[in-house]
Amino acid sequence: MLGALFFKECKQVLKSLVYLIYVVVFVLFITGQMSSDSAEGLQAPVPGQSYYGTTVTKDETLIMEGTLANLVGDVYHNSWATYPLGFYKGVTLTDRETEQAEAILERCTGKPFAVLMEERSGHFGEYDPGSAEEMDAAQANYKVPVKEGFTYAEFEAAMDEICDLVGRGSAYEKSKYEYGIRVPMTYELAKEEFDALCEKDRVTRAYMRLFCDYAGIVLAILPIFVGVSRALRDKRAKAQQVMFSKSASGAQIIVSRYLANLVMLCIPVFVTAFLMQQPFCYRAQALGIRADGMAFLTVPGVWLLPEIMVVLALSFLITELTDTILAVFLQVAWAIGSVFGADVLAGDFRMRLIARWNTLGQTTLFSSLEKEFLQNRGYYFLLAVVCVILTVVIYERKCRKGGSLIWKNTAG
Amino acid sequence: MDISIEIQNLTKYYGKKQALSKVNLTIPQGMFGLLGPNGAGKTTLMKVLATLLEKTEGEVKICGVPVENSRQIRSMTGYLPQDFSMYGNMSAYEALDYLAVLSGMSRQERKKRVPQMLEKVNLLEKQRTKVKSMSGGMKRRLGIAQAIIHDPKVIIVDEPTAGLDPEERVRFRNLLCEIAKDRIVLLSTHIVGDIEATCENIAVLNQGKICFDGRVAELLALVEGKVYSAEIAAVELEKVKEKYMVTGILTTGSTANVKIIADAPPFPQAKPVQPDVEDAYMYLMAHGMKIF
Repeated sequence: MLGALFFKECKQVLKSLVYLIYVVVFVLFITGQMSSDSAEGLQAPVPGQSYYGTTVTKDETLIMEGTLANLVGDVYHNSWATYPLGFYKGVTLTDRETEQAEAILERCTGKPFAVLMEERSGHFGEYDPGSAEEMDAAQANYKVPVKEGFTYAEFEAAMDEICDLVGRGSAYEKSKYEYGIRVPMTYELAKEEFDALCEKDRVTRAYMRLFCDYAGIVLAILPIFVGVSRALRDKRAKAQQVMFSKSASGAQIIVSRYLANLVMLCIPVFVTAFLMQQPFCYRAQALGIRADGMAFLTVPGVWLLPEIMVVLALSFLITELTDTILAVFLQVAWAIGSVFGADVLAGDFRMRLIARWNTLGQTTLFSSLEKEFLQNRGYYFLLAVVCVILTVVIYERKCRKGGSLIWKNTAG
Repeated sequence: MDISIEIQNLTKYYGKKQALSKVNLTIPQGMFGLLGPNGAGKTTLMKVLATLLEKTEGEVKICGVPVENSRQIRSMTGYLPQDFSMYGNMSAYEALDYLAVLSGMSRQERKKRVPQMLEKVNLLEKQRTKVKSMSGGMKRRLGIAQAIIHDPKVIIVDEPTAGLDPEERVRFRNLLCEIAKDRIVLLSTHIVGDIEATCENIAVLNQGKICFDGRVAELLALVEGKVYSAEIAAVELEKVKEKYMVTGILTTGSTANVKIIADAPPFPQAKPVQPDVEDAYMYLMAHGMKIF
């Protein structure tokens, strides 16, 4: 029965307008976002290049120097970007607060703010402001050293004081500066990264991580509509009573519906991933690298499948529980919070629904975070299974209560 | 197999509100009518029998199986709810096939039974018609097809003719009579004409209690010799209605022909007439008696 129901559900999903919209929006979003990442840009670093890109540093001295460099700029402009609830909020300090921030800077560096400003102007003056690459290099190379003997613990305390001044969600929170300070790569480091990209990631896996980063954003929202629409369909079609009266169990009905929707949601994701990885396969071949042709399945399978599973399962659960579209509001809020709440665009996995990796490569960094990433995905996989089981329990209960979880007089 | 429904002391509460009170009923094979006004508890009783509601107290057995065994009961019952419908974008064939899958039928069985059932309910030619394009009558016929597709021993039909035009209603009643062979068809309605035309055995439910259970002839016997017809002046109509139970009025110009239920002739010119089920039902509702 499960197989027959599954195929019938797939057919129903395929014929639904919500699903058609899902496919169109997903394809448009992902192609639009990924269009700037060309396979032609993939090339081995050559000695003597002026710029090899940047990488996230874990070196405490570099973290302090980079964070203080940002702080000098923010104090100078008195324009502080914060994301207290995941959304941007510009903060401007009062004169007194600015003086406090300048004093903190002086305590960290041992130099008056005016001197720091002079040094800053001198540094940026060495680069051509008309060249974007030059300005990237200028920003990446700008460092503000701490005074001698200044410890990392003192630095953390100083940054906490800055956070007290500007409020929550600034770049001066520990979780942000420890993942967000990028330093310019040397040729050796760039070569090491490129080799890891070719050997460990076999090019396409790295590209698929970038694909998953973009796809993960939209897949935290779109499946909600498909799930809610399916879960409300029986009620809208006045088919609930007749469904309940059949001998099929709640588990057979819910699991077949869930799996059918899951498979149908995954098909455009994997097809798009397959098509988008092809230029990188050809490019890798041209560079003499054996690309991973199955990366379109394996990477989104681990990265996106648990996300789609939990988003769909939760939409089934909330809708079955409430018989309303409440899931849309709750889950969209969750997704938005997850997108904007990330401290950095690559590597802030923790328990976030959307696993961000907005960079092509950084294979070494990803390897160091892989365990945390897999724990995150495993957690959402299990959560999805729990949600499906709870949905079955609720459905079975509704079957015995005439379609409602609460008593209502239906006598007639 | 013993084809019957045994209901003993069935009580159902919705929170503190009592919907059924100590209902005792034995439903034999054939068409059985459950009559009662709106809100009498008919749908509640039907839903308990279809295992869509849990009873509060009492015992209910369908063909010897307690209703607690919902899976087994559902495989031997077919249920047509009051407001049956299916997904609008499905054709008649697809909807029936889908519901047949939910009834646990194999692909082979469905291939054979779905066209058979569509033919039985006169929908074979309309098998590609989408549910959203169907008339009320077509939907009810599709509903009865899904209720009988797995060849159940008991069919529970809740208010099936409400909202149908007279032609559709007659066609639907005939269909129910056809399928009542070798099984129980429990027909719940507040339309007396449906019961009169189809059922030999009936029960009348009022305010959650059974106030009559027996044959149609026994119900008619309650008002035997108590139904009169008389021609009166139209201006007298209001007075007569206040004093007697009037079950029919035919006004012709300044005179009106009234049908009255009374223990003795209401006027000298009143003539006793043959009662019908509607007269008996009205009498029962007015007196609220319990007769077995």
